[in-house]
Amino acid sequence: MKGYMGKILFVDLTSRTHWERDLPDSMPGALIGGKGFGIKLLYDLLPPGTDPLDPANPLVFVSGPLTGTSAPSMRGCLVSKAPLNGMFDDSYFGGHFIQEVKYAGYDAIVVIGKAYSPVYLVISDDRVEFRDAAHLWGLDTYETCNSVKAGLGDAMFRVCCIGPAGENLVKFALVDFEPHRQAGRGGLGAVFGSKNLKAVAVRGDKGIEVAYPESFTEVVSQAHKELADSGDTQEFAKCSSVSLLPFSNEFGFLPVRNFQDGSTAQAESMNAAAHESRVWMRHWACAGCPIHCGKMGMIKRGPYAGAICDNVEYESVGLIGGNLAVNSVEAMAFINQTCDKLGLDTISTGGVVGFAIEAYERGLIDEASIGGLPLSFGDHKSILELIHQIAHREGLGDLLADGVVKAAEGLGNGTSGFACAIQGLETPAWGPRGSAGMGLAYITGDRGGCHQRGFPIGYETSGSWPKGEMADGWRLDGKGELVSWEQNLLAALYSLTICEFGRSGISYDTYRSMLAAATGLSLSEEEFLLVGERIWNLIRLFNLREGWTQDQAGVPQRFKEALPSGVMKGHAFSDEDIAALLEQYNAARGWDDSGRPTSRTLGRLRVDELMEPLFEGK
Amino acid sequence: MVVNVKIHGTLKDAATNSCDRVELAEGATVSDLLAAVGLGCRTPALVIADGRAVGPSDCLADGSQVSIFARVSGG
Amino acid sequence: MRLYVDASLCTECRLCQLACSFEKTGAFNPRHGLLRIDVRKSGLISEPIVCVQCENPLCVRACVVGAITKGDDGVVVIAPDKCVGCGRCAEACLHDVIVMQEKKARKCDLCNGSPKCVAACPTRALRIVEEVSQG
Repeated sequence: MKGYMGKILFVDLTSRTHWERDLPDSMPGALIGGKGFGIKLLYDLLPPGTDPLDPANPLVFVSGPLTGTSAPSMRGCLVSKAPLNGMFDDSYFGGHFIQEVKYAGYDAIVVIGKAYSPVYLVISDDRVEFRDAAHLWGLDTYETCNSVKAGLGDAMFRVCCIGPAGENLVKFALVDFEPHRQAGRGGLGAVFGSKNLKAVAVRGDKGIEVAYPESFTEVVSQAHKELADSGDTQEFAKCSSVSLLPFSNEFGFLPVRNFQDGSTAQAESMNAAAHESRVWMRHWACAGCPIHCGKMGMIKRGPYAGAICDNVEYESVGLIGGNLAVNSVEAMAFINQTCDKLGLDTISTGGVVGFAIEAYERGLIDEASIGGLPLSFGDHKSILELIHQIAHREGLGDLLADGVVKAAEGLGNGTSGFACAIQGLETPAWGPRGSAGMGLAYITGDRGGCHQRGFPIGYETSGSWPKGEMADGWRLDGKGELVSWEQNLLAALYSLTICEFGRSGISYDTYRSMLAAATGLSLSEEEFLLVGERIWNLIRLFNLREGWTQDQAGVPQRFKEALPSGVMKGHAFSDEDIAALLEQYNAARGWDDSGRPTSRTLGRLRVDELMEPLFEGK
Repeated sequence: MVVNVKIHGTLKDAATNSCDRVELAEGATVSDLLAAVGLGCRTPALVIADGRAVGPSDCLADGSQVSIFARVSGG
Repeated sequence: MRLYVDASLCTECRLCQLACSFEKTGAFNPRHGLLRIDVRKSGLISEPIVCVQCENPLCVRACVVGAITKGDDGVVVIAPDKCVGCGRCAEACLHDVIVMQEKKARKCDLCNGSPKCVAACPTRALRIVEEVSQG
């Protein structure tokens, strides 16, 4: 089928062998690509109950049928069982890497096993090499990428790699995709590290063909037009995602000092205008994307002057600027870049460091264990030191490196009450208080409490969603239907590996039209949503198989206490809310009270047909 | 009456009147305010008045604090 | 007529290369586009490198079979039926924008006056300029 390359590459690091399998004909229609292929491969290939850091946990790089074409704003998807919370994890990344995977001839690359000593993979079309990575071990992500590229002599190899955090199995280590994009959440960098895999370089000479070139060109132009005409998208184009800051700050969704507050008087000093005037110099874009939400720049003032860096995304501004109260744009940019270089997810890092500072301020961490580090909110020097300790698992960093939930278990003394994670994933820069929809999305998210598996805040605050009116954020009515609908929609869109920022402008019809023109796969709106629902149910079956239970939602006490400021002041995410929302949600999904899909639901979605493994043996 | 307005993001560039304080007739609505600041022909995703999301036909009061946002897509 | 580059506006999105490869090969791969992007200074700079239809085209001089000619309109074109795929032109190219593929040399011909790369560029980093005759 056009749009697809028709092959999956398997690489076994233990035996240093590799082999190809044809993409089964049933896959595109049933699961489209991206997230859909990712869960199917993980479901098949992971022996049930396997530890995420076991060699048998597969790492799956997946593309979508539009990836690598001129269809705007497509990303790649990295799938594995997450070291951080033991759930399914699909982490999306921009840049240029996944496009090269397709040009090399593959819809997906599956890496299993564990190398005897550190290696990096070099994939050039159908050639796969296992190279010694002893000289790369210990290097940061920027150094690793430069060193790998210099050794290959072709600037169009694309590289992904881990930093020291991944090597040291930090549970929220990321995978860095050169030059400035990351698969951040869930700790997939630690899966690399557990396999002794430092980097993957890939290039390819194959072209991607589409089924109907003329209509494809037409509908891609339509997508570009929608992006250009969208006020939302143009906001990202000009100001990147940090443009969301005034909104979240005004409502009280912003994490401030470990979510002790939801807004700050310092927001003005951290907003897009501050970044633009002090750091940014030009726009930067991922492959095939006209939005250019990325901003390249340079730190020009203060102790970090001279560093060339990219922009700090809203989430990182929220978790570093808000949650750690580092208000200086320069210090924020430098901490952000340090996390990227060490290979740490900025969201989780901001979460665990904010937690540590609060615990220290409350006298719940003894002086000796932090080695005299003067921990306090806003002190970027000590924060940077602690971040290095986490990446290298030194001192207090070793405890924090397992994530905020484990760190609170280790510290005891009631610290779990302000360990801000839901389903084991450190909470992103949208506090759930005052948005019951967001809270529900967090407690039902397929990879934990993530803002990208449903973002009801927009519908709640504007009072409407595609099916009519939507109740205010603090109200519960209609939220089960809203969240399950958006999760299904996003699962379908993520099977195309879309970028959220592209979705801000491109209509769902146009996405489906691009899919049809590229592949010939013509899906109605209902059929498209059904694929998303099928994927979501398959992931729930996977999570249940791996021991997930609904009681694990683990909403910390902090979110159950009233929000102190902002439009949503006084609202909380209470136990009663949680119980009522889950009841609504499970009913909307056709799941039983414990969150398990009923056989009727699985039959309706034809998930039962997906239970047979795709591949037998090698 | 006078309302206090904050215009955020790129809407600030589109607005013809970016004053913090805008003079309006008694009983003016959100859409009157948008017209007064030069955003009448655009539809901002979200207008917040005194801490609540409001629609075009909602009335404003003297001294209202109004924030105008271009959009609220997730990031 | 020739291409004009303002690298300060380039975002490295490679839509130009994708449009070129689709136009010239019917498939997408930026490597098959007839222009390239040079990334420097830790990614601070990305510069599109295009064929400037040289006044003194070294590719024409390098070709031993006379397959490359500069027309009256100034555009330097390769006749595919004459090209023997020796690669001398690519070696000689000042800007490394001649691509060898399936044993043929390919280069920018400005798409008969409406370059697809220019149309695809979202930031006007690539533009067309009409040149005053040096005559």
